[in-house]
Amino acid sequence: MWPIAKQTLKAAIRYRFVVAMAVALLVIVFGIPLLVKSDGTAKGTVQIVLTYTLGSTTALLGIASLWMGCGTLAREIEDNVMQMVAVKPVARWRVWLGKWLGIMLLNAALLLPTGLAIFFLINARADSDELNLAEKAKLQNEVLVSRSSVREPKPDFTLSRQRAYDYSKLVEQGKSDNRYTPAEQALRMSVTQPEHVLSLRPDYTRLIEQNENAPSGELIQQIEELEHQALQVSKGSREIVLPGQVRNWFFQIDSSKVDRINENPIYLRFKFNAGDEYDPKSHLCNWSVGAGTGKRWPPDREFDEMTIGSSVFHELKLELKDGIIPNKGENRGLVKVSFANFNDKPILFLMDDGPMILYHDGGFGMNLFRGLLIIFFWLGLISAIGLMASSFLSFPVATFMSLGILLISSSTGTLEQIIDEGGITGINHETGRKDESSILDGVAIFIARGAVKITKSIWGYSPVDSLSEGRTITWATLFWAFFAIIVVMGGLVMAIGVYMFHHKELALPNPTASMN
Amino acid sequence: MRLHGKAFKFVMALLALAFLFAVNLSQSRMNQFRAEKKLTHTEQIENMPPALAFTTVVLGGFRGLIANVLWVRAMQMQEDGKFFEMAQLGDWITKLQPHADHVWRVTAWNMSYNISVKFDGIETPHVRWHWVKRGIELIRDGGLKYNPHSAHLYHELAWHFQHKVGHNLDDAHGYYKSAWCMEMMHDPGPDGRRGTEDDVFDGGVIGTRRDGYLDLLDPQTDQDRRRLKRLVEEFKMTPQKMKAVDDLWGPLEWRLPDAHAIYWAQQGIEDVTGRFDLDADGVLNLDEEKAAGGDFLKLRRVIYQAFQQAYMQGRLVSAPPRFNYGYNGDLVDRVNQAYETQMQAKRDEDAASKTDTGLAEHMSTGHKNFLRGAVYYLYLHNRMDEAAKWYKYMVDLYPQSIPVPGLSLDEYCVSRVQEDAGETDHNQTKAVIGGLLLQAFQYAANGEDDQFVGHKSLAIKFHNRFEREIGISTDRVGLPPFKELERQVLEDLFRPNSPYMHPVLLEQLRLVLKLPEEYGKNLDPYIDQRPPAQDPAPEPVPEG
Repeated sequence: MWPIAKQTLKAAIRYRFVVAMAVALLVIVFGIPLLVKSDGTAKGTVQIVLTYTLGSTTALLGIASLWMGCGTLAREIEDNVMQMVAVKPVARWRVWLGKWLGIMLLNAALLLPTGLAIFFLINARADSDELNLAEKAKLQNEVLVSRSSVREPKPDFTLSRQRAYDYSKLVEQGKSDNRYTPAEQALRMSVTQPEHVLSLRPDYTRLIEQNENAPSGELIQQIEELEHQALQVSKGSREIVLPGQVRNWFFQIDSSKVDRINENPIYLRFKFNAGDEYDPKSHLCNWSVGAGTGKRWPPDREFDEMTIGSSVFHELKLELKDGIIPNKGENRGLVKVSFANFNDKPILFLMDDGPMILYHDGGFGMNLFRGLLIIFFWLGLISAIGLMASSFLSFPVATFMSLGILLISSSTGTLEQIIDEGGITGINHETGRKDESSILDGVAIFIARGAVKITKSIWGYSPVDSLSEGRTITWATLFWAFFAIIVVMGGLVMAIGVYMFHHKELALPNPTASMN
Repeated sequence: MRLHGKAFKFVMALLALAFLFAVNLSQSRMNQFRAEKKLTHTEQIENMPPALAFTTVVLGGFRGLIANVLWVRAMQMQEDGKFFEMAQLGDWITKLQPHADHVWRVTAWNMSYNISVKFDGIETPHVRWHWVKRGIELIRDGGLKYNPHSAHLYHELAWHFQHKVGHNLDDAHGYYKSAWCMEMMHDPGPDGRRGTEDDVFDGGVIGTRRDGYLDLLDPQTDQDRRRLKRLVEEFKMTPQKMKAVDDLWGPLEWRLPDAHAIYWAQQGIEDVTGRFDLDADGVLNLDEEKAAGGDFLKLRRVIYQAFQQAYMQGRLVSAPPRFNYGYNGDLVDRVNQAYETQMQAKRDEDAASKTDTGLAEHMSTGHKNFLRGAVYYLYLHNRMDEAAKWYKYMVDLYPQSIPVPGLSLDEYCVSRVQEDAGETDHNQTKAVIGGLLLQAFQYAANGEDDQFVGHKSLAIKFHNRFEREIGISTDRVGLPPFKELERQVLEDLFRPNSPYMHPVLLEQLRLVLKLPEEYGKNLDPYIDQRPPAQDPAPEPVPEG
C-alpha cells in the first residue's frame, strides 16, 4: 500500500504536476491580496483575503484531486499498466487505498505550506505599521481570533395532541392552584407553550371530541390549523418585541471559563427584522447587560443606543474593567442581556438568528489549522469519488460522473426548497402552503431530505466562513467532520470503488490505450 | 521539404505573428464599419482595462451566467452581513456586464441605500459615508465611463446627490453634507489621505468660494492646475460645464450637494437632447422623449427639486468642522425661473407633439407651493420689499394661492405662522426661527424691547415645540441648540457687507446686546448670491 502511495506521488512529481500546482498556489496566496478590492477597512481587507485565498486554494486543490483521482486509476487501466500491479500478490483494495493515500500525501504536501504562508501573510498584514491601534485591536478581537458562541436554549415547542387535550380539559374545570392533584400538577408543569395556548381555545377540545366520535378529514384539518396557529403565537411571543416592551435573554457560560473569558471583551451578535427588507431604514436599538447586578453595562447610563439597519447581523462589543461576566455567587457565568424597543413599530428577533454571546476561546493559528484539516477531509472525499468512478469507467466518463455527483451535492438550496414547499408540485401563493399533496411530492420530499442530510453532513462545516468571522472551529466539530466525511462517506465511496475495481476485468484488450 | 522540430515551430510562430498583425489592421476597419452601419447600440470603448477586455471577449455567452452567479453570491453575502466582499463582487459584476446600465444602478443603489444603513448612523456616520461615496463613485467613475449616453445613470447619480446626500431622511445626512463640503474645499494632498501632513486646506477643487471653480477656467498657478487635474480626473467634472450650469441655474453653492445634483441632471439632459432631438429644435417632442426613455422627465424633475432644496438649505453658513447650512433667500428668483423654464419647456413639447400631457399644469402646483413658501420666508427674514414683490406676483399668477381674496401680505404671513406651528420640517422650522430672531434683533436695535422679547420668546417656543415633536429623530432632523441658532443670526447681521441691517442700527444693536466693538469684524464677509438684475425691479406696492 505505501509503495503504491509513494509511486503515485512520484508520478505526480515526474509529470511536473506538483510544480504546476505549487506555482498556482503561490499565485493565489501572494496575488489575490494584491487584486481583491475590500470595503476599505483593515478588518474587511483581512476577511476578504482569507476568504478568497482559502476558497481558491480549496477549489484548485479540489479540482486537482478530482483530476488525479479520475486519471490515475483509469489511465493505468487503459494503458495496461495496472495489469502489472494486479498480478502481484497485492489485494485490490490495497492498490485502491494506496492510490488514495498517494493523492492525500500530495494534498498534504501542498496544503500545509499554503496554510503556513496564509498564516504568516495575514499576521504580517495585521502587524503592519499602516494600521492604527484601533484597527489592530479590531482585527485581533474580531477576526484573527477564535471565538466560541453561546445561545439561549431553544424553548420546547413540541406539541402532543393528547397532552394538549388533557390540559385543555383541566383548564376548563377552572380549579384554583391549591386544588390540583399531584398528577394534574405534573401535567401542568409538563405542558409546552403551544399546548398552553391551545388550552385558551375552547373549540379545540370540541373538535377533538367530534373527531373521535365521527372522524373526518375536515375536522383533522381544523385541528391541525388550530395547532399551527398555536405554534405561531408561541413563537411570536418569543420573537416579537412590541413598542415600549423590554425583552431579556439569559446566557449561561461555562463557569470554569469565566475568569479566562473576562480577560477579553465579549461580543453580542444579533440580527433583527422590522418588516422593511425592501425599503431598509434605521431603527433604534437599546441594549443593556447585567441589569440589577454588579456587572452592569453600559456603566454610565441605562441603555446603549444604536441606530442601525435591520435584516443583517451586528456585533456589539461588551467590555467592562475586570470583565463583564458575573464571576461570583450562584449567578456565576450567567449573562443577562436586555433589549428595549423605543421605536414605533415591533422589532422581531427570529429564534434561529437569535442573539448570541461570542467570547475569546483560542488563537487564530490553531483555528486555521483545524479549518485546513476540514478542507483536507473534503479533498479526501473528492479524490475518493474520483478514484471510485475511475475504478470502472474510462477517464473522461469518470470525470463527468464525479463532477455530476459534486454538482448534485452542492444543490442543497433546491433540495431545501422542495422540503419547505412540501414537494415539487406548486404551492398556493396566497396561503403559502400546498393545497393537495401527491405521491410524487412524498417521494421527492423523502429523497430531498435524505440528500440534504447527507450533503449537510459533508459540506455544512464552512471553515472559510468561520475563519473570516473569527468563529471557533471546535475539536468536536473537527471530529464529527472527520467521522462524517472520511469514515462514513469516504468509507462508503471506498467500498463501492474497491468493489468495482475488484470486479473489473483488467485483461480485456483496450483499443483506446495510449501509445505511450 | 517537410519542416521538423525547431524550424517548424519557428515558422509557426512567424505565421502567428503575421496573422495577429493582420487582425489588428482589420479590427479598425471592422470597428469603422460597425459604427457606420450602426450595428451596435454602444460605441467601441477605447483603452479598456485588460481584465475588462478579457472578460467581455473571452467569456462570451458565459458572462451572463457568471454575472448571475456572482449576483446570487452578492445577495447571499448581503443577507449574511458580509459586506467586506460587496465591493469586490460589485466590481466583478459590473466588469462582466459593463454595458448593462441597470447593473451599475442597482449595485450603486444597493451600496448607498441598503448597505450603508446597516451601520450605526450616529456613532459611525463615517462608515455610512464610505458606502454612500462608493455608490456615487461607482456610477460616476465606472457606469458613465462605459455608458456615457445613459440617461438612467445620469439620473441615478443626480438622485444620489439630491436625495441621499442632500435630503435629511438619513440619520447621517449632516455628516454626508459636511464630508462632501470638505471634499470640495480641501485637497488631501499627493498621498490621497485626509488628516495627513500633506493636506492642502482650502486648496480643494472649489476652495473657499462657492464659485471657486472659476479660477480653473484658465489656471495660472501650479496649485490651480493641480485643482483642475483633480476636478477632471477625480470628480469627472469640468469648470466649463460647471460655469454653463451656473449660468443657467446659478448662482449655486458648489460646496454643497444640491449643486452637483443639478450638474449631473443637466449633463444628462444635454446628452439626451443632443442625441434624440431629431428635428434639431432644441426641444424633445413626445416621440423623441419616448425614444429617449422615461428618465428624461426625471432628469428635469431632479433639477427643480434640487433647486428647491438649494433654496431652503443651499447657503453654507459655516464650513467644517463647525459645518452649518441654511436658508438661501437669494435664490428665489432663480428657483422661480427654473420652474417657469421647465413649465414652458413642457408646454413647448406638448405644442410640438400637438397634445396636452397636463404635465405643465402639474408642475405649476409645485410652482405655486414654492411661491407661497418664498413669500413667507422672505417676510420672516425681514426682506419686506422682496416679499411684497413676490406676493403680488404670486397672487396675479395663482389667485387661489391665498385663502381669502384681498388678503394683505401681513395677514397672509401671520396665517402661515399659525400653520407652521404644527410643522416638523427641519429646514422650514430653522428658517422660521431664523426669521423670527432677525426680526427680534431689528426690534432690539430700534429700542422696542417688548417686541424683541415677544419675537425671541416665539422663536424659543418654536424651537422647543419642534424638539418635542420630532421625539427620537433628534439626531437626524434635530435643530442645533437655540443659542447656536441665535449666534448664527447675530453673526449674519454683523459680518462685513451684511445687508440685513443699516450700520447705524447695527451699532445700536451692538450696544443693546453689549457685544464687543470688534464683534463680527473677523467673520467672512457676506456674499450677495443674487443674479445681477436684468431689468429694474418693479416698485413694491405696500399692502394694507
